[in-house]
Amino acid sequence: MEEALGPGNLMDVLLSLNSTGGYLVTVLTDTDGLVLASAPSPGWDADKQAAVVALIQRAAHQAQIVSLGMTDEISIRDVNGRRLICRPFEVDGKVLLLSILADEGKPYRRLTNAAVRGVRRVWAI
Amino acid sequence: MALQGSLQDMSVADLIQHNCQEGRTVRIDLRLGADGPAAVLFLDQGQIVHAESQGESGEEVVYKVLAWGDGSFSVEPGQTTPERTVQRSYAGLLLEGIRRIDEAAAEAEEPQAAESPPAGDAGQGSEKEEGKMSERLQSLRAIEGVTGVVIAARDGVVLEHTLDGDPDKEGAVAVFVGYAAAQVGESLALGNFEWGTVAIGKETMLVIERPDFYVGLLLGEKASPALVASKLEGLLRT
Repeated sequence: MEEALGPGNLMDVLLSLNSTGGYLVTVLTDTDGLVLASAPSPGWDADKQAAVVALIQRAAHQAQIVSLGMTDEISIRDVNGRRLICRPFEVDGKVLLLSILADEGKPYRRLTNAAVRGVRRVWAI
Repeated sequence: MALQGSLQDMSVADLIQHNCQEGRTVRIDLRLGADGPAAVLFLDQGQIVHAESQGESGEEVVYKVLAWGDGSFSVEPGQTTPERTVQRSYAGLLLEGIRRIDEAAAEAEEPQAAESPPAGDAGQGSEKEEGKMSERLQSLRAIEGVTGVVIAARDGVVLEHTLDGDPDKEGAVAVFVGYAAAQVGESLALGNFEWGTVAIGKETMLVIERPDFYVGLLLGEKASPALVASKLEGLLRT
């Protein structure tokens, strides 16, 4: 499945993030791993990515259990330099997780910050 | 067919972790020593759902059996229970159990620690070599940008550290990130996991997996994980 999923406005935020950043896939989930919206590039399977995000979410949750405060980011890099970056954030007391898969050297911090703000705006509507 | 064995060969923590990581539904029967108390754990699709021993049930039973170092076990696949007395994830249970064991060990040692170590008492004290950093630990700690080092076994037990705070917590974070990374690598068919980072507040931990353990490095605010990782790899190869 390569098409974008999710409510229109959320999907717009993710599509914009994915195309601007040139990422392989961008997914927004809740803490149960339920995909709220996704924007994969051609060739990337959003369902597979969602399963991966659920695994990362579990790790993030455990990191919160054993550490102080909320996990800001978990990043995993393979030997080819490809990175999976997961950023948990709160909206209205609910924890969501924005995850991107990026090739080596792709900047992501500012873009994901902007996307988090975008999601919060959409959520508030 | 039930799998049977000795807790000296496979600890309760390893039994739980192995079966939970595989997502199994099993019944695990445990006995402390040759004729000590018995306990039973039920796992449902990789999570502990019920634990019972001597009329007691729930999470406390899990914490109790995690401390059983000598005894026997049997694992019966496909056994389910309608009871649900445990809500916490298996990972959370293991962490809490390990924390309690460490706390109990520290409390037991405290009265002696206040006094001079008795001459010739080289028994259990020899297992604790905190303060005596290995060369490896010292060289890792010396990397520019690294503010602390923790080396944890795959079951979360901290092997070495240079941390002032809570090494068990940091070690557990390293293990969970490393474990998740391995799963992600498989699921995405990516190349091998090289390194991972977890950022919590101003603190960032760089996690690298080795065959028998995970290395967690706490980084200063301006440190580059990639740069530190490249130096770390070189050090760990030597």
